[in-house]
Amino acid sequence: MPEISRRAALKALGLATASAVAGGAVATAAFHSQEQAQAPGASPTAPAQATATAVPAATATPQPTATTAPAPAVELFPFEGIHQAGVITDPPQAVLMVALQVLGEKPDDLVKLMQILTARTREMMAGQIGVASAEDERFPPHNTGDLGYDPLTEGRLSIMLGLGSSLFTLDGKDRFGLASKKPIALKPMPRDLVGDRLAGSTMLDGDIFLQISSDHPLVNMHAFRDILKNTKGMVSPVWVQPGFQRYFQNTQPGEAKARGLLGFKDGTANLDTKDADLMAKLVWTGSEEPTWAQGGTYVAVRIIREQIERWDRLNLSQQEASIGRVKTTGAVLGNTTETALPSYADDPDGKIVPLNSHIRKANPRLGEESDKRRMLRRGFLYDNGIDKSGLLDAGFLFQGFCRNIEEQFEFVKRNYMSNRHFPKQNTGVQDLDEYIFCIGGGYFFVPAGVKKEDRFVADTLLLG
Amino acid sequence: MNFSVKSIARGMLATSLLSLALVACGDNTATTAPAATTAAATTAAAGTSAAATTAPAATTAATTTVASTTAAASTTAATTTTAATTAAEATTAAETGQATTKGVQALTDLGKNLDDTSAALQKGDLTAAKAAYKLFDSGWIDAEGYVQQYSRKLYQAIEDAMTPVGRELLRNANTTVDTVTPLLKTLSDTYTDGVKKMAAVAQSGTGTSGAEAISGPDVDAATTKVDEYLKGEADKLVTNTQTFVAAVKSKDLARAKATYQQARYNYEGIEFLAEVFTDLDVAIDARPDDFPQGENDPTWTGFHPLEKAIWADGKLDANTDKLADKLLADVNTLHGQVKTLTIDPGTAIAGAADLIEEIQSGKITGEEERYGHTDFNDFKANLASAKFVYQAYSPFVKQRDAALDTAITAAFADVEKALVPYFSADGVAVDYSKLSDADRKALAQKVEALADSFSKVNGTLGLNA
Ligand code: HEM
Repeated sequence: MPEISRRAALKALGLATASAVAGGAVATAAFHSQEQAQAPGASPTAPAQATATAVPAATATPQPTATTAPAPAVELFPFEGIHQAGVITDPPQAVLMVALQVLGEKPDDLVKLMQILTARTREMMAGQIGVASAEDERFPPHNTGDLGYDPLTEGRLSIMLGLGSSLFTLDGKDRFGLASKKPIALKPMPRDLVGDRLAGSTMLDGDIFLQISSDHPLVNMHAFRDILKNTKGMVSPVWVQPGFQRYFQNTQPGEAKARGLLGFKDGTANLDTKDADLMAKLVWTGSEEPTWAQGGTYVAVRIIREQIERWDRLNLSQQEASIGRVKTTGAVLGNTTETALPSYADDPDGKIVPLNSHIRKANPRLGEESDKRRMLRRGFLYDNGIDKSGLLDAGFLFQGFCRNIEEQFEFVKRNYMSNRHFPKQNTGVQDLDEYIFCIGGGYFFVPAGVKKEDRFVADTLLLG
Repeated sequence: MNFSVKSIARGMLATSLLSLALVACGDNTATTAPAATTAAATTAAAGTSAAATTAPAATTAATTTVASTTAAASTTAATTTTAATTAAEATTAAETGQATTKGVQALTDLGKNLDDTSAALQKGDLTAAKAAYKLFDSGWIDAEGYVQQYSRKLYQAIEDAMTPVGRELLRNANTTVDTVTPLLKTLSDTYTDGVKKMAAVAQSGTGTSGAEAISGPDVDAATTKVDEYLKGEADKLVTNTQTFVAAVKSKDLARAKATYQQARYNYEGIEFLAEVFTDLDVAIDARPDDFPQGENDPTWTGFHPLEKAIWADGKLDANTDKLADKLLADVNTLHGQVKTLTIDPGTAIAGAADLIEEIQSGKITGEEERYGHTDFNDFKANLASAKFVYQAYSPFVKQRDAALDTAITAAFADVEKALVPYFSADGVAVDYSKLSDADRKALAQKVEALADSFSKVNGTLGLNA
């Protein structure tokens, strides 16, 4: 809540970063013109799909409109862009992860589905949820009404779409004639990752993955409901998982904006999304992929159950040793400032930052060899109530965005975190694995953004 | 325009949004808002600087109170503390019990001057002693902030010990080695001891260290008892594994089933010791999930592939012979290794806590004994060992926190009682998979209560895990 008032306060000072266009339609237009200003194929830069920064600080001056009512500030993410929203856009407070199975069997079915998904996403991200006066009383209404009838001017909704490997090949079958175009590293999430408890999981894989995120669960649900309503007979939902996150205000650059359920700051050493070169190197796919798949990214989705009660009974020193950071400040053990970098070379035996601590296992900082394995993390928390034993059924919805999922996420998981002999003989797997285990998720390829009004997600795959 | 969307989405904040939005548009009707807005905006935007503004005063005040030994020292200290430590540290110059590795390093470096002073005194070289001590004295001003932050008591003790040394060594021209030596020793001991304690805290990160660790002959006797018990269980593990392995190799399924439980019981009772030797623990007790190829992984060995062969496959063959031989060999190696361990109270208690957690954690999805469903047998073993360890140290807990001791004792009894119905008269565990959801939950919640109170034992006894 304080976050909102801060945002509002900033607006009052004329510092708001949101644009101030009157309605959804205008917003879309504004974003178009912004997008067209971008040279096609230009290197991916933050503005192309950053937060709704398009029109600067128009709120400071009165709008020359007929009424004296102030125009609302628009807090929407543009749909069109070089990359899909939902990867490097600022993560909002709520998420709904959805996996869909495609029911159609012909390539045309898939084209039609993608067109509908694109159209619905485009409209809803622009805040257009439909007006009451446009409904014909003899039909079921288009707008389900749960968000009202005014265009959304806030909520930062984005619907990011990913493709599962099963869309390309399933049980050795080339379902839609796309097998030869499969992104080079796309495959089902491996079932053999150490520590995973996937047996009997109902939350695995999917032909299509949607990361619906916004600042309110109702907005996410509305979007999901709308999509299901508009794709009846075309898709069947496989699994759905809601999540949330809470962000701090007043954080300095380089400091984490959030904490996880285990109580530790999350995001401190994450990749800087404003560093376009870094994103190009570690997140966005390039010439190694088929043309249609360039400018996209892979995402490893991992639904990770945390044994919260057990964690809460650990001594503070055990908790800190398990993560490798100080709980209050977020600093690496042995340091006082959150942003200070660890120097593992000076601590070869892990006396200060244990060798099996999460941060040391996840990024051993060996120079280029491990630098190139880093990924962009965009996690949310989940709360599924209680389990059969009456214990909290909650945890972490991990998303790791990688330019190459095998070389980054999977390599780190297999060769560092779960490798009992890394960095040293008998180090053991990361200590955190004692308290967490993965219960579902999937690997998906996230195609590049939709660049023009007449185009749709993955069109170059399906038509090109 | 319409604020209804906002009020749905953001409830109570709609009102404040409304007034702020009006101000933003320069609307005259909003003239009452500015004051509030400005205030809000300032607080929000300047959240950090507000904190920062109050900080200097606090810092100075705190420092002055503590460093009142000499007027000169207190003024300098105020500035040095801020300069030498980070802003975060400076704002909390009041005692926090916190220590950082940076601070410990600075204090350790500074302490070398005390060693030099002492070495010079030993050689009877007063001039060299004076020079070395001067270095300590002037360096102290830069480093004392670290000590103040950690503990005022320690700070005062060091200052108190410094006063006579300074008086004799720096200001009394006629002083002698014999006068200075004992004074310096007091200072040195106080200083070194304090820095050591700070180092321990710095290692652990956020925490402060509270109670002193229990010690003394009674504690040693308790530890010996625990040591003997656990090593006795390790002996039984070998014997009972031999029996089990013999049953497997004789291809006698019924006997293999019957003897499996006993060997498992002994293993579960000392599991936390086995976990010290990760490779052996993996070789003996790993679940298929821990292997890339799961149940089909050729490197999956130990009790559980045998459990699968006995219960799920119902088949003992050449392969199970091999597994059985390897199990016995690994158990023998483990036995040898466990015998070499020295158990200290901290490890014993942390181990017992682990055993209690074991009861819970394996059951969250599926069972540990997923083929034989003899989980109750494991529970009983975990519980018995944990209880033995606890009872050994219970008198010390009672001394420090009688209510905690009562709670833990009651919780043990509660869980034990809850387990009774799940064993037949001759002590064989009921099939865990037959447990009803309600019963499973009731049991889990009892274990939660035990685990929760037990998690306070190490801290109460001043032990590190
Ligand atoms: C429940 C699961 C997890 C929890 C609670 C967790 C928590 C944390 C925390 C507290 C940090 C330190 C702060 C920061 O730099 O963000 C961190 C860092 C990190 N985590 Fe995780 N994490 C989890 C899962 C994962 C997974 C599955 C991966 C991917 C393989 C991963 C990769 C990383 C990386 C690369 C870092 C940064 C390390 C560095 O560069 O120093 N985490 N995590």
